Amino acid sequence: MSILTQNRRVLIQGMTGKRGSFHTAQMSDAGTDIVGGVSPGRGGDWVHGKPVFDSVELAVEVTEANTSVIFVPAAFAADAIYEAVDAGIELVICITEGIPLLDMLKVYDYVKRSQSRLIGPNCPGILTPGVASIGIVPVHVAQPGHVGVVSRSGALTYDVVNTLSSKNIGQSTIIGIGGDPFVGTTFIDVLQMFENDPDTSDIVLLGEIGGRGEIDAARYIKKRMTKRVITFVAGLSAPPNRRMGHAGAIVEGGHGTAEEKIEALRNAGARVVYNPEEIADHLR
Amino acid sequence: MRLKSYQVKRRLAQFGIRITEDEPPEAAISLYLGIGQDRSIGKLALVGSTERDIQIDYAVKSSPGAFHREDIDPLIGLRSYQVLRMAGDLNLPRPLYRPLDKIAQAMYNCYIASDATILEINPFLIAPDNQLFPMAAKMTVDDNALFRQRDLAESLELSPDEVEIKAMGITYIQLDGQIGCIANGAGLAMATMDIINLYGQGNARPANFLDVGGGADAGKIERALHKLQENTDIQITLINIFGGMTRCDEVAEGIINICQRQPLAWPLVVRLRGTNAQLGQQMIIDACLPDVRLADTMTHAALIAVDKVVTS
Repeated sequence: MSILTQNRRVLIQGMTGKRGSFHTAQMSDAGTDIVGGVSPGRGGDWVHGKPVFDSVELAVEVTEANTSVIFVPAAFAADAIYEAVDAGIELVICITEGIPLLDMLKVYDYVKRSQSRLIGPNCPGILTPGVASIGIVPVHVAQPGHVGVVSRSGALTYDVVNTLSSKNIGQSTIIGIGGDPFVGTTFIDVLQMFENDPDTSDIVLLGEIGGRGEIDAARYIKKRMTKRVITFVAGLSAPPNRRMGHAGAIVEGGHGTAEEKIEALRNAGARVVYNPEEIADHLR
Repeated sequence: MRLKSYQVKRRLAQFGIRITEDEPPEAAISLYLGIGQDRSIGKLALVGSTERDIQIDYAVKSSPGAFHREDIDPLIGLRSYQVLRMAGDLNLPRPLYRPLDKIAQAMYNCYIASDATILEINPFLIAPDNQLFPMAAKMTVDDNALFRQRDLAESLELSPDEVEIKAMGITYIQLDGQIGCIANGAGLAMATMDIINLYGQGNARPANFLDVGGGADAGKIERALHKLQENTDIQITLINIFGGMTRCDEVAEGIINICQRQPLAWPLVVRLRGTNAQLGQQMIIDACLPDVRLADTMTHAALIAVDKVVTS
């Protein structure tokens, strides 16, 4: 078992672009069942032996896809999400960074009223080592095992996972929820899935400044989690009112500081480390 | 991005709101109106108050009694009844209800059309004859939306250097420490700063935040190092790369190129992990650069950097 990666028939929206094409090959090599791609106006083409369709609706009709990974540019990404949701895609993973916030507010609301689950935007997606990769998490850093990893960032996550693997601590599923202020799936959603997954024994949660996702997660950990949670919150040294790379990583009006998140997580019983390289020490 | 005052005025004027330039009227009531985003619930909120010192960040995120708040459904927009309810709660004179609705709707339309994140009019002065006078306004807009708000981009007032860096996908924020930092990814860049602070214990601190972004090549690493050379407080620079899309051999090439062209003003400590890490490390070893040290872990790299600052 693992979370979210079972029985995925995956479409790539924006498959004919440079990134879309590159990652289609990577995902395919990782064992993912890529059934096709969508690029409006490019229907009938083939990329890495997979058929390209003009619309998600058509692609779903032909391939019975249930999952979509979105690589289209920020100006068109919101539209791509609507299209996937309207075509009945169950799991929509949006890799794209830089979607305007007002677009995302509407998308966020629309997805909530639908049957679909959105991961991201501005996220690396999901990897279950040895099973499937639906996103851009580098497959070679991971190894199969029982630690669930959930994070708001990319490279930091790969680094932490790589360190775990080098110490023979494998992972059940690695999931990046995204660095934007509005994301479709929250820490709580993922914690709940890991808690219910018999294949996950411990959880690593990588948070950062901005918003209150980690505070909400702390409340959930205190109330519901029986599994061990080890956490690192990035940005203790970040100045206030500056956007630290991610659109969502900003301390505004004194809210969303690393200090308050660390305190809430610690009070909830999570183990807090101040150096991400020490995470593995807590998992032996 | 915060807009210049003339731009705010121009934008508001397009929606029929004129900021009063004349002598303020003898006011009976002073009113605050603001629209902002609440990240925790994914909605916009209209906030009103008759108190003077309201902070929208605070008002949108909590709800004590000093102000009135209405959540706005992003798919439906601001409803008139919500503005009327606010007017009632704030005990405004009844003849003001409809004029206030008109102005709140205009603010909302301006907010949406401008891709704003915050729009505040503070204060409105209300004269005894119930005339509304908007006296001052503030607006910040979403950096992600600048591609469709081109006329607002001039508020950024970036230097050519900053424009170039931004166009390359590099995020740079100057701080006041002694250790230059270069990393890929926002999370890793923050973690690098945090670890320096952790081991620096107040004696050594990061000099900057610098995220070279995804898929960094030799040119971006050179540009980043070039940027840090402007900061004369730096005593050593730590490069921390975890290669996914980024290839560590490309990073090494950038480091070697700049060091061979002209010696840097400070030593480098370099940690390369992930895609082609061994190749990158070997390239740096083979280049025999006198002032470049390799480190295996972030911790080791940070300790080397901190030691350099503390002992010099």
